[in-house]
Amino acid sequence: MKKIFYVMLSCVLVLSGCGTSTDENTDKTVIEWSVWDSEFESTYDALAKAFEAENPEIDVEIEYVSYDDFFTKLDTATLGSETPDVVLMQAKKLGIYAESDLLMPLSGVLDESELANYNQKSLERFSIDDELYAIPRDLTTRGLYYNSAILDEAGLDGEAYPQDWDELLSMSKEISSKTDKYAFCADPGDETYITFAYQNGAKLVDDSGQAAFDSPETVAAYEFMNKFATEGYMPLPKENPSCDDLFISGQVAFYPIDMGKANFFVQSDYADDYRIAPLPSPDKSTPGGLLNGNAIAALATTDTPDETELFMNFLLSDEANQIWADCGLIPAKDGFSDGYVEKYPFGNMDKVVDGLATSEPLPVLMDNSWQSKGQEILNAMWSGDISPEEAVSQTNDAIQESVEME
Amino acid sequence: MKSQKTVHLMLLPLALGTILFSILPFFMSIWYSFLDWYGFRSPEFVGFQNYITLFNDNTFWHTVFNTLFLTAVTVPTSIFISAVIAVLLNTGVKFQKFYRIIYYLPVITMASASAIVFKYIFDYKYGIINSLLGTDIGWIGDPKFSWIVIALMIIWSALGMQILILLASLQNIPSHIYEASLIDGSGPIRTFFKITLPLISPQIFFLIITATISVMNLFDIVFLVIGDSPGISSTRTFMTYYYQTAFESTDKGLGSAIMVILFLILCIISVVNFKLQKKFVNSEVQ
Repeated sequence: MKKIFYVMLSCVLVLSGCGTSTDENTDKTVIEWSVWDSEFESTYDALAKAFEAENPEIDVEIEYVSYDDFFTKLDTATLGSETPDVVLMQAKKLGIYAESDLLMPLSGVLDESELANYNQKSLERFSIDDELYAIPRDLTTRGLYYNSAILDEAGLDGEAYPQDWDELLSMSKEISSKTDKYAFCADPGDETYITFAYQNGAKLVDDSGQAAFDSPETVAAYEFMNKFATEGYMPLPKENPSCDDLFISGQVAFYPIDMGKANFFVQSDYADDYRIAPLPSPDKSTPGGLLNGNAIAALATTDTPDETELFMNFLLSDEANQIWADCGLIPAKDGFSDGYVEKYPFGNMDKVVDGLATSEPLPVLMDNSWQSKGQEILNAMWSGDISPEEAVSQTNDAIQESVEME
Repeated sequence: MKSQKTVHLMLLPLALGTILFSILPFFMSIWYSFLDWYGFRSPEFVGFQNYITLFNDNTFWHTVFNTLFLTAVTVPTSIFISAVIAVLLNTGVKFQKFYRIIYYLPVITMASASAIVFKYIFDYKYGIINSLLGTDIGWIGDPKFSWIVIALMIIWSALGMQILILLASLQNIPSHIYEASLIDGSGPIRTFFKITLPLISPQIFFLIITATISVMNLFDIVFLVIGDSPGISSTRTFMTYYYQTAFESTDKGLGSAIMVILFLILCIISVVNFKLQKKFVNSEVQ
């Protein structure tokens, strides 16, 4: 009996000893960096190698977890002790981790002179109560991708893009009547619909922090979006469309989506036909746009705080930002966007990149369940089940529910 | 005495596993359902607040309706079809083994694999169903139809096991009972309802209980086939709503309350089933 007990105890001890911050083979300190975008594997490897070259006593291990599982796995890990040291982070997820003291506050940790060269709005995006919790990695905003071959087929100028909402609607009408392609496709799960509303002066929350989405400006934006469904310019929700799939298979003319999709679209067979333009605004005078992009956060639970601090400061360096730029991102640090336009020459990429300067971050609510509810509501509107007014009112209620969770 | 110890030692791991991973979490869920436990905040006791929130939530009531509706549609249908097929297989038809394998295959097919096939079959644009029917129905994206796809998948995947159990029970019915009924002039339909059905009623009762629990706990195929398409509004089951609440919205207290309510509903259904069992199940063959 005793023998069995000791064998079982040994097994338990062996298993529990699996997680350690020191690589026993090399005696190096290990920093574990968890990310979801495995398409940038060579970039992560390059960053790790560059850091390790400067700090030979530290190993950076990259862990790739699919986006669908990423935050569930991170949540589970934080309940135990096997958390990564550094993670890729989204602004919409920041609040919940920061509020629970799971993220390392970066004031006093990072080199202030390097941070001064960062896009200040993106720094605000990853700050809570003036405390920075993550280093903005890249900047993106939404643009209007379009397939110039479909515009040509409809007798339109394939190089001319719609400047405002009316032009987008009239060009969509031409495409729908003269081709068998969809003129427009928008993913309700994406924040494009909020961008349209923001362009028209809508707000998610007011200065007192209460939901303020239910306004005439938002209703006008929803009415504009609803016209694509009622006029038959876009695939309806019942078709369960994947706008990505439809666009890369040459079935959609206009696709408003994050400019960061360039990395994906450039691989399509139709890449030569793709163009990008600034997202059309209600009138030509309002460029507007939402600032996006991911960031890198250090977990407060790290058992290698000094090495992690060193690594976070490395990520601020010109060397690290040049590696990001080389892989096709626009780093949040100033002066690294030049290569992007050449890498993705989809027509007017330069104008979209210029739009980053005027893009605003979306207010971050700790509870983001309003977004999935907003998606269902938008689908209900596009399905003809509710009016744009009702859609806006219901989305406002969902935002208020999230606000009340704060 | 030594053999007693050995038996206990062999029984202990499974018992410990059940206590650790089923019984303990069950009681913890009940406790969590009384907590305001959002994200990584410290949990706070709020009494019945989570239940009040759920009872005032339209999505919750839609979820209750969807789950009960899918159960009411699929459980009797799958058992009826299984019974008919089992009776046909029991007639001594040729290639019986072949048919048994065919009907059992869905049981051993991974849900993810069958989900991909069903998604293709019912695709709006390229699906064979719309092509054959000449329709443009959004089988997956339209809530008016998406429940049909899920119901078909439930029935299709349940048939194999149900047929196997019913066929085994049919083969256990002594042939002299049928011979006696034949001599008494009973026709095939009368024989089925007066002899076969009562004699396999314990197995049917067992299937009703297990199939009900299985459908009430449905998650994988809804998640894989419907995902977050608009069709989810008529196919959101308890488990999908729990997943959205506890994992996507990280509201562990509310999520636990959903599971406790599911448990209570299953208890009520099981009690009703057991009451009905006394009335309808042939006790002599139990």
